[in-house]
Amino acid sequence: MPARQGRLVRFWRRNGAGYMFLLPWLIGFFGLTLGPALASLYLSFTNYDLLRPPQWTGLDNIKYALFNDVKLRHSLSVTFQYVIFGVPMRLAVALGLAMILDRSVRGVGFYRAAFYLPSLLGASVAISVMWRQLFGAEGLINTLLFLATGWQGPSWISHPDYALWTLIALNVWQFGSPMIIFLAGLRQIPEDLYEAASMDGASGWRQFRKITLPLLAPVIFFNLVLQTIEAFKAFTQAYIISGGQGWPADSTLFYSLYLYIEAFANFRMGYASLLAWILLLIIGAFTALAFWTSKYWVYYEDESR
Amino acid sequence: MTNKMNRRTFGGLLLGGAAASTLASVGAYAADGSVRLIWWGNPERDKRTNAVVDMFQKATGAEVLPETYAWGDYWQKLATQAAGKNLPDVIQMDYRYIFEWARRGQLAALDEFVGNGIDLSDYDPNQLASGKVDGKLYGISLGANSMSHVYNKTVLDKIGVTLPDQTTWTTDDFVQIGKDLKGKLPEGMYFTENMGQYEPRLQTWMRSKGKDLYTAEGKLAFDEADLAEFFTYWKMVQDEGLSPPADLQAQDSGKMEESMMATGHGLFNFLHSNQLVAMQKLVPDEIDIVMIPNNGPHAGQYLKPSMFFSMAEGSQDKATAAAFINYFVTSNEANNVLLIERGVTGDASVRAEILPKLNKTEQKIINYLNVVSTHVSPLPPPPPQNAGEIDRALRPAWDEVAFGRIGPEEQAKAFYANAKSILERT
Amino acid sequence: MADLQLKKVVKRFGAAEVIHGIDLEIADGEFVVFVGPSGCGKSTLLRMIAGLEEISDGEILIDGEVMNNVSAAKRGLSMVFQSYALYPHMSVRKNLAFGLETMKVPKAQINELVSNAAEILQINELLDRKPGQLSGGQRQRVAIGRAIVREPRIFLFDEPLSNLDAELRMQMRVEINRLHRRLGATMIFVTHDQVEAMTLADRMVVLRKGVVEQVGSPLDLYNHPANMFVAGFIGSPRMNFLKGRVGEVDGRQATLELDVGRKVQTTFAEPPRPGQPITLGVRPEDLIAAAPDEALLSGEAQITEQLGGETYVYISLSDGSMITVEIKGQAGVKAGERLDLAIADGKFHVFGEDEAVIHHG
Repeated sequence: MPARQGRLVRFWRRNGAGYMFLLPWLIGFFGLTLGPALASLYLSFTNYDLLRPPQWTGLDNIKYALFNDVKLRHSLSVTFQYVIFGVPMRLAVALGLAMILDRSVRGVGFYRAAFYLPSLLGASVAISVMWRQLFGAEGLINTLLFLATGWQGPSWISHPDYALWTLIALNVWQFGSPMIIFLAGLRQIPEDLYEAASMDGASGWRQFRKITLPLLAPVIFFNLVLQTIEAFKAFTQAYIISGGQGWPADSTLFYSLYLYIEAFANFRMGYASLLAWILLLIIGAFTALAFWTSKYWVYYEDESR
Repeated sequence: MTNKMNRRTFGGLLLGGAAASTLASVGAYAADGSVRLIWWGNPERDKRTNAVVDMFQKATGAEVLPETYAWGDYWQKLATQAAGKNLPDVIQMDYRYIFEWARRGQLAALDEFVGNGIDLSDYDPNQLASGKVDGKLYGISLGANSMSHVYNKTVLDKIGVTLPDQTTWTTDDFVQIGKDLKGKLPEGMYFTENMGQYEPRLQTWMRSKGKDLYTAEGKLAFDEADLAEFFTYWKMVQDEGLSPPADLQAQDSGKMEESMMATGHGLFNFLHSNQLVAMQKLVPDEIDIVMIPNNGPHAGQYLKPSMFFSMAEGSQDKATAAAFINYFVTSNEANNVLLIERGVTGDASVRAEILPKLNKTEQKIINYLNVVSTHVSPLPPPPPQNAGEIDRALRPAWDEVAFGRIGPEEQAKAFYANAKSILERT
Repeated sequence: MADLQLKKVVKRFGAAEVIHGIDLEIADGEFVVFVGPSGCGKSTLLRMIAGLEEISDGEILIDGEVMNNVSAAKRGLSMVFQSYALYPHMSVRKNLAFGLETMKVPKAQINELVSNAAEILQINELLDRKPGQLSGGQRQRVAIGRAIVREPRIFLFDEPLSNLDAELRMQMRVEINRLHRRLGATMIFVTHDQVEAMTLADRMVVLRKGVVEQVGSPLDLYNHPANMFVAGFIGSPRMNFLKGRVGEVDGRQATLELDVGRKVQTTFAEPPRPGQPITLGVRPEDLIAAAPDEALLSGEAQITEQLGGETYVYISLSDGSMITVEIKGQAGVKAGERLDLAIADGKFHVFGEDEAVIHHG
């Protein structure tokens, strides 16, 4: 019908160029992101050992994950510990250092670069290997401890009580990127607010709590969400430092590591796909929770609430 | 040259087929085919293998691109490559896994190449049979070996201790010697590494009692009580101070360089007989090899195919792959370099050729196998599908006992139930 | 309420000294204005009193106590900032209460004090809004309210009216005046606008380049400027300056010969030197029309500005220089018209070569 055609032609004429420019990204999105994601959703309900075609098994995988998979629960516990301790610690260190580096002291440019460096290298294999050496039974940390206190420490990376903490330490050590973002946020707080607070009798700590933190809240929120998502997906460091299996005693069995083992060592791709979707739901839930609570503690200056 | 560049790759070749083919086209002279080779190893094995690769390339003009990984990473890397339909052409295989991989259709049946590219006329048929799955030949054994214990001979001689008859000594004897030696060993050295984490040691334990790990039907061939006994024994060894503390032991992630013996923390170590050469290279003192102490009336050990070379079903150049395998297994030139590092070859003519070339350490292996072969029980049946997963689960289970988080009997119960459920999963 | 003493106060930023040894005494309850052109150091001085800048040398005393090492938070002062510096994420009520909460004042008392301040400044309806929702004038009042609520010893104002439009500025001037009368508190006010200074101050401190040029009541400074700078700075339109030299001297009487005009006779306190170059200063409002032969200055009107209540005429003199005349009412002076002017009642000032005053008319 001419009328319908006319509308389509008009739509295309108005928006066609825009869609053409978007085309590369759209191809990538559908082909490399959405398409595989949907495929993996399908695979979650199958038994797929990678080497033979997938066999439909319905809800079996879900039942196993919910009721029988002890290792899954364990890996969730390990990952949650990593997130709940690692992320706040990393943010606290990042904020603390950002506040120190916010002054214009001599050489501050050098320190900023130096502090940022670990986060550039951090997720790499090389650093993880080095970390494993540092915290081994005869590693540098124990050597220094012995020299300082005469106490011979355990092998931190192969003791189930401590191994996860060496990974948390590695995470905290990469505070550089949230630190830079905090620095930018701090810069945006007008200096005269602090002066006014000083005149109002507020000490440094009170100024921090009542002015810096609330005005920094959007940045804190941003960093919190991003760092949490990243921490849930942590893989490389755990893989290298734990020997690829979450050793010792599954104490470093991060969720993605468990997913990887199920997929590539145990040839259970279908189940691993389900695990991937579960992770997506968990991260989604956390992010939604963060956004929902944000209206109680994050103040955006251009809002007229 | 392309060879030197690839030798140092850690996994860069996972970029795979594309990279391989571009590199192949960089080769200066007419390539007569190009294949990729993957193996797990240790520094000494890597050296010899790469030498053979060079020799093969010079001899035939074909190209071989090598990749190697530590045992701990090997199987996952292989699985990742399989997922990408990117398996190397020649794959080093283990007896435990060859059945899984063959049954999943990843390996090519080699029967068509026997006598037609791979010359097995001198090859021991029994050893050959060990590479057969469901009647077809999926891998050619690179040598026989058996499990063993190795110990630091220099230290033991200095202290002036002689070990009892290796064919009859018991696990109780083992512990007793350890107790006698307490306080006499060098600083930082414990009597033995703790073997509670090793599935092979578990196997000899069960076989010594007349059982095994798995039945031919793919079920567990031992009882919970047997397992509890095993865990209890090794916990006792740790508690008595005969093995290093749990966290020190746990630093060994499977690389030979990290083992307690190589790092000077253990007098006794578990080893496969063919690894003696490589281990000796890592230890400055002289080490010697003995049989595993028994905990029952039966012979715990068996002659095992140490490892196989298999061919990927998806290989694009099976002819060259077969030629390489042939060269590796049957040629005198190659075996004069490899000697018995991977085990004692099943090819009789090669054995005769290399025998005079063996050094003192290697002669120890031959002598050892001679002794062992008189005290072995039959080759166990092929392991069931998820045996690899059970093997991987043993270590964390042992770690929990070692770190005192759970008692040996409790863990035996839990692990046994877990193993059963793993076997039942598809 | 407190008094303030500045003793040889110096401020250095790195190697540059910007405030050169200022002495000043401010009595309890006074409204003092620091006024001067940009860069004269008035804000810096205020901030040193507040404790927001370090004192490089000298002493600042409040009620006899040396404040050099006392932090801003502990000095018991309040400051109204040019940018208001209201806490954007807090309601007006919380803004006002912030300082009191810091001092751990009980809630009931806080509410009372906040209500009082809100009442005085008429911001009661705004208490639950956020600063972002207020107009400039409203924010101004909240800023003042925040300063009042803590009943400080001294109020400091750092150019608080600069960001307001003309009408609002006039309103706020009146309000601040009223506030001062009502609270009777010591207030120090910094501005570059001499009209604000004149209208608000009990005493004015005129600053230039880190030095106090003159201190005194507004009319004092107006009628008896100590030098050319103060004379030219105070009063709008600006005082006219005419160059000349001393002519005949007879005892304490002398004739001043202007470059552009005729001669003026006057009596000095001390006899000047003949030939000494001088500058004669006369305010626009002190020039009156005269007969051509009695006029001191004559020139051609260039521009006329009619403000309704008065008229400003810009006249160019014989040597091309311009002077300003203020005529009450609506004078119909046309461009090009010739005007003859004399000084009313001898109201002129004579400044020597160093620009200090030698004679007041």
